Amino acid sequence: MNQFFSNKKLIILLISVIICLSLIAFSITGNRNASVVQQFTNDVTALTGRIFSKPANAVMNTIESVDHLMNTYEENQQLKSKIDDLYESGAELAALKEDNKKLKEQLKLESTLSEYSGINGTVIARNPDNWVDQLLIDKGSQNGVEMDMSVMSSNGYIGRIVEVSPTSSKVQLVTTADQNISRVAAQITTDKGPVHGIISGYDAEKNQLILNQITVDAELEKGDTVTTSGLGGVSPSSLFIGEIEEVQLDAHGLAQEAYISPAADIDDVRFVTVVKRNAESGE
Amino acid sequence: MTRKGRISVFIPLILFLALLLDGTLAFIFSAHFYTATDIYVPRLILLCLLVFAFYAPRKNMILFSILFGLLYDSYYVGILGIYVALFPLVVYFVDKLKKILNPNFIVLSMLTIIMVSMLEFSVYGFYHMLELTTMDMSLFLAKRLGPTLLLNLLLFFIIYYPLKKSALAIVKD
Repeated sequence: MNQFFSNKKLIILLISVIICLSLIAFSITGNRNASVVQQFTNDVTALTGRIFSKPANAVMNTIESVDHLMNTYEENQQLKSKIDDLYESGAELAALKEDNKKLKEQLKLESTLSEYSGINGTVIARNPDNWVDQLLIDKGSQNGVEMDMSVMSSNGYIGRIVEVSPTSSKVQLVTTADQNISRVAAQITTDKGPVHGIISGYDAEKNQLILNQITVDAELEKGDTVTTSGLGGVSPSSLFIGEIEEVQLDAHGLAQEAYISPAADIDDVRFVTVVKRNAESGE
Repeated sequence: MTRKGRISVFIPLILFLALLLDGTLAFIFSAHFYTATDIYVPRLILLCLLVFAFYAPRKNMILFSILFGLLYDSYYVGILGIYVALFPLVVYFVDKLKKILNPNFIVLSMLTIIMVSMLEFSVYGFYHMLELTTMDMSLFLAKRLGPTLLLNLLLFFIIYYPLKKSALAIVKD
């Protein structure tokens, strides 16, 4: 016993193992947002991180614009065919908005689940080891970002805020394997009305999200659009997530499970919009 | 500047830049690094630690590795305690080996392979233990370890010469 404790290296090793394990336990189970010290260091690091991310973004934008220039003709043809439709639906949208406003006034609704305001941000860095899919963005609590807010890229839902510092915050993507915190309340728009489900996983091989807990009665088709339902408490409704690719019964045969191809290109995110819901959550 | 001053200023500076570059590389090439079949994890900070551990004194390097391990954990994932345990281990092993090995190109590339594999295995172990991943061993080997070793060996070939030059310039008397 005496000899065991006289071994200095062993004691140092033991103590460091204990410290590390308690640090892990502390950061997983502890307070959900990071401590002030951690927020401060993250902010300072993120501030300097922009030295790399700003020029990188500039270079990528240039490359992208050249790329776009090459495809201009083809794109132009496609867009021309779409533009007539767009005018029509624009006019329709304006009329519907007016209607909606009047009806809301009649019902004395102040804010509904679908109303939100956005905070635009740029990605500074991505977690290199990718075990937990996280992005670091350049907007924080000073810009109005709060915990659990939904995050959109240009065309669709990509994840939610998991850590907020004054001038930077972390976004956890829907593709992360951590099933417990990446769940999103979703809704599928079908001909017969909305169907609800929960996004609870990601199939990396197919690059598709898994939407489950859909009732067996619902008749879903390929191409049905999936949006957030706003019933999860934090995100507003009608944020576009993706389209249904495939529907099947789940492992127990009690509910249906749908595979969704995400609308946002989750592998290549550079600009994000943090979405703040106007309606108060029920909590 | 004295030798001591250079060690305590330039080594942390380079390590810090390496840490930031890791995140930036991951984000610029995210479409290429993180595909359905392969995951390439850039580990520039590990390569820098590896080379500096050969030249700088052990005490400084252990301290830097702990500090930058903490920063890495806090900045990228928010789970403290994973890299802060592994970076000092890497430095410790290299320090043990530097008495019997000569830091030439071949030896350092071998060490890169060994240390990157060690790090990847341990990080995988941690995440498996914390149940943040469900990936099994064979998939891990094929999907992560292989591509990551390849990428880091490439990165090492690129940064070996400037890194060695700067390390020598920092520790010279």
